Order: sequence, then structure tokens, then C-alpha cells
Amino acid sequence: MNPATPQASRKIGLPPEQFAAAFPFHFALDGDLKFIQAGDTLKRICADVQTGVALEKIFHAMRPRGEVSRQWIEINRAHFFLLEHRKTNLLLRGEFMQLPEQNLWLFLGSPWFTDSSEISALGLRFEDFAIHDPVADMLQVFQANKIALEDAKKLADKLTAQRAELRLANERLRQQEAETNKLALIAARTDNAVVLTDSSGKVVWVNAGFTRLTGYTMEEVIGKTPGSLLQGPETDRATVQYMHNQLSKGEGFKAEIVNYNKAGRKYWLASEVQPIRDEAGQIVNFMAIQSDITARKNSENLLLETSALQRAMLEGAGYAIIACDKQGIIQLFNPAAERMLGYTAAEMVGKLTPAAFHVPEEIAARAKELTAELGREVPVGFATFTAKAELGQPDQREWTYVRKDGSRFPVLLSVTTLFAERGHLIGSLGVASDLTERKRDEEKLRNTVSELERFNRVMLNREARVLELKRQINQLLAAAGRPPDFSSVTETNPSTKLE
Amino acid sequence: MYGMVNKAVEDMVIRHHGEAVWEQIKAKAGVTVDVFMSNESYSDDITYNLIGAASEILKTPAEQILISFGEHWVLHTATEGYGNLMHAAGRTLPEFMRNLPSFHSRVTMIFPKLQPPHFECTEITSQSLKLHYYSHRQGLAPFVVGLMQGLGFKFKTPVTVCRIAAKDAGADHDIFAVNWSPASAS
Repeated sequence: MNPATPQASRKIGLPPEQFAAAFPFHFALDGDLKFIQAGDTLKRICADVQTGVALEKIFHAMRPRGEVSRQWIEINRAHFFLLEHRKTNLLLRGEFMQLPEQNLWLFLGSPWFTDSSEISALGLRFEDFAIHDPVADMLQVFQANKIALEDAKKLADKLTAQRAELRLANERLRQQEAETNKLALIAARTDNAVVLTDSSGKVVWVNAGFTRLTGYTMEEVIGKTPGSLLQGPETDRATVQYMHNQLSKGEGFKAEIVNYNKAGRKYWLASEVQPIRDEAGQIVNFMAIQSDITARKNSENLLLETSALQRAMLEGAGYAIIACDKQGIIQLFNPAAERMLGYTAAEMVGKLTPAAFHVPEEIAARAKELTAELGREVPVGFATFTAKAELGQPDQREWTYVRKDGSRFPVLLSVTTLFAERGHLIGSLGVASDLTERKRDEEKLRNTVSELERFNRVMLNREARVLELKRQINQLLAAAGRPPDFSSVTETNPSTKLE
Repeated sequence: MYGMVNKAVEDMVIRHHGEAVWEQIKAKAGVTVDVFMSNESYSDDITYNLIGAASEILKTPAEQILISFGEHWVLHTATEGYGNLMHAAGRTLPEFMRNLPSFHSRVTMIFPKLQPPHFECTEITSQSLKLHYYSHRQGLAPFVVGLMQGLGFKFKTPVTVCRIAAKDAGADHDIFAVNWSPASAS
């Protein structure tokens, strides 16, 4: 005890049992610092605390520093002492008090713990502590602080993880925002109409392109389905049904459909519609990108009509129409050509050149003729047919065609070269008419004329003789003094004279 | 209530039903606290709302949840957090029960904002006692039943707990008759 501590006003002593209960970890030493008494709990925990055993053999001085001795105790009496039990490492915190009249040293103290596990490890119970001893409560404080520290660490870890997540999320958000801005810019500026609807198909947003295309402003279309405003009499019902079915199934689609703008003008619309889903996979919007394809549709229709006309001309023509590429390979062989030559288009197209049904000698002769006419060497072959046409000159002449069965017939062939847009040769087109009939007719005509001429000659001689006879009759009648019977045949009517 | 109570509810739900269910319960209860600090005081409403939401989402009566929570409190919360001190408080169920009031009083001293229940044990025999439970909170009697059952498991001493006086039925406080087999408690 600190010598400066005031004295108690009354002398109070405790009976040994109560003293032992109040100080279960106390011990008393004789003048040689050997145990003469110890608390029950201390003896239970530190079994080597026995009467007559020296303190220094059982305990080691932790605080104050030094060797266990009377001098060490006396010098440090004003401080607390911390002793370590050599065998169990139990720490005892307390103070030494000298009882001078008995030449004894009394140690009053309690175990010192910094972790609740130590109490358990030493096999101590709360009942082993004096009720006034706050050591057990201190352990609870330690434990509560330890748990609080663990909570704080958990919170810090969670906050650190959240911050990291937040940084990532921010980065993702920043990228998404940049992407969204770009997309928004594209959606706003594109010539295409862009429509965003809710999951039921009602418009929630349209871009300026939509207004340009349809004439409807965003305010006019919000909350309405695009179809209710834009479809009309020529809108194909089957396409509308298809679009409706795809939307019901939540699937995207592409469609081309006739729409009508606010002013009632009809136009063709190409529309690509895609569902937009949330993270749970639920459809939240549909987005449609639309463009006016009226011009393309008109061109397509014109092309279809032109194609149909061409097909009708090719198939219905009485002329053989044969087109070749620039190598001379036949690319087109119309039905009239099939009839004329006995080959099918399948046998000719992509396989043979017109040489298959020409007389080689005629080609050679024509090549020679052209060489002389054009002043350059015209090779024998397909070039023979196109040499003149390539110069832009008409090339129409008679040729002899050879049928598949070997029989021959005359044709009048007109060759035209085909040029692509930039003026380079892509092939030739030959149109041939069968001259067989014409030749036959010409022959027949020639024969008829010849017969008529002969008949005429016969008839002319016969008429001259009749006139002479009439004239002679008239002369005889005149000699008889009678008027002529054939007044038309007189001398005064020279027109009746035969030459 | 102190955060350790809510933390224990969280631990029990996650242990048996997973994080996702706990997040659902928290959302339903309108609780936005990320981490409950054991030594911080929170409004009692948070605990009541969490128990109510858990009852709805787990489709289990609140009373049953409170009983399970009492068992969980003893077997996990107290044992994992204060196991050494519980050990020091008693090696058998009767010994622990004898020390329970002072154990609770000690806790009260170190958590100044705590308004803990107060326990008293009377009529202690080798196989039974009467546990008197005084609390200003309503509806937590099933939690006490769970606590006793949990102690039964902890000390391997099967107990039967019967409420013989109920505060919500007009009694001054709740009283439970706790019985156990003397052989297993020795």
C-alpha cells in the first residue's frame, strides 16, 4: 500500500474464511519470501504454490523489472506488481503489503487477462473470482471491443468492396453514357425514322426523322400505336398480322409495308423492329428503325414490268434471238432459236458458240471479205460476226444455219454488240429470221411472172390474128358495097392497130 | 436494441436461406443498414420489422421464427461471440441458469444504452426451475423459449419449457417452468 494512503478510521479485520473468499488469488510470504498461505483458487490453478516454497521459484517478475527479492519488493512498494507463474504463464496483477509486526508480506491481486480465451484455458469460472473483482467484467469489455472491432473491420471491408464496385459501376456508367450520347445523336440526326414504344407497342419516343417522314410530331403520337396512325387502304393486311404476331411473341422482325403520312400521301416503309429487354429478360420497349423505300419500290416495279416485257418479247418473238458474252459463249437462246435450230437452250447456253450452227466456209469467206473491207486482219471465228458491229456499223446479211439434224436453211442475221455502261464490250446480240419461206415465195413469184409473160406472148399473137381477120371481113364487105361489120376495126381507128 | 441482435437475425437467415433471401427480407422490412454494428443501439422497430418480413417471406409464423432465433442466439451468437465467458458462467445447465441473472447484469454494465430483459431463477431443484422474465418489450416470450431450448442443446440437456404466466395475458411478468432430466444435467 502506498504509505501516503490515509489510514482507515477503524481497525477492521476479516475472519480467515471471509478473507479467502474476498481474495481468492492472494498469497502470504515469510521474511525469506517463502509461501506460508495462498487463496484456494490460486492453489487450484497454480498447484506448485505450496507452503515453504520460495516465491522466485514459482513466479517470475514481469513488472517492475528486476529479480524477485525483498529489496525489489521494498523499492517498488508504491507500484503495482505483475508476476508471471512460470508453469502456466498466469499473470497476477496486484500489490505487496508488509505486515511488519509479523514480518510477513501479503500479496493482494487478481489474474490479468487480455483475452477471454485465457480464462477458459486456465479452467477458471466466474465463481472463482471475488464478487467485487471487476476482472470478469473487464473481460466482457475486452470481448465486446473485439467484436466491435471485427464489425468495424467487416464494415470497412464491405465499404472498400462497395467503393471498388462503385468505381467500376461509374466507369461502366461513363462508358454507357458516352455510348448512349452517341446513339442518341445518331437516333436524333439519322434520316431514318426511329420509334420507341413500350412493351404494349404504344409510342414513348420518336425522332425528328419520324416527323419528317410521317408529318406527325412526338406529341401527336405519344401513347398511340404507330399502325393506328399510319396504315391505310393499301396496307397489306397479312403483313400487319405478321408484325402483330411477332410483337406478341416478343420477337424482332423486318417488314415492308405501305403507310400513309399525315397528309395522306402513300409511301412504302421498310421497318426493322427489335425488342429491348431489362436485366431480368422482360421486354420493356420495342425499337423500330424505319426508312422510306418508295423510290426503290417504284424502281423494282418498273424493273419487274420491263423484265416481263423483255421476257414476253424474247419468248414470243418469231426471230431467233441469241446473245453471247464477249468470248462468244451463248448466254441466251430464245424459243424461236430452239424451234429454228433444233437445239434446246440448255444445250447451248454457257456451253457453245454460234459456230455450232454456222457453215465454217461462210465464216472464213466473210472474215476474208471483212479483212479487205476494214483494212485489218479479221480473224475467223466469233470475231467475224462482231467485227463490224463493234465499229457501230450495222451488220445485217444472209447466212446459212445448220440445224442439229444437219439440214441447212438460210437466215438473215443482224448482229448488234452489247456495251456496258462505261463503254466496254460485254457481248453481242444476234437476231436471225428464217429466209426459207421468203426464198420459196421469191422462187414462186419468179415462176409465175415467167408463165404470165409466156401467156401474154401467146395471147398477143392470137388477138393480132383476129383483128386481121376482122379487117379482111370489113374489106370484103366494103368491096361489096356494104358497111363493115366490125366498126371498131377500121383504118380510121389507129388505136386498134396492132403494132 | 443493440446491433448484435439484428446481426444475429441476419446470420440466422443467411445461414439457413442464403444472402438473396436476407436481402429480400431487408428490402421488405425497409431496412437499409448495410452492416449492423454489434455495440451500436438501433431502433427496436428494425428488429420487429425484420422478424415480420422474415415471417412473410419464409412463410413461417413469427412465433416459430422467434423460437428458432432464441436457439440460434445461444448456439451461434453467444457461443461464437462470448463462448469463453459463457463457459466461465457455467459448465452445466443448472449452473449456467444460476449465473444467468448476474451474467446479464454484467452485460448491462458494459452496454450502457442496453435496456436488457431481467431474469430471475426461483424454485431451483436438480431438475427444474422457474424462470422469471421481465422486459419492457412486447411479444418476445417465444424468443425466451428458444433461448432455453438452445441452452438445452448447448449443455446436451434436453429441456421442456412451458410458459405458466403471460404478461400479455395480464400477468405481472412472464414465468416459464423449465424442466430437464437430472441425469443429463449432472
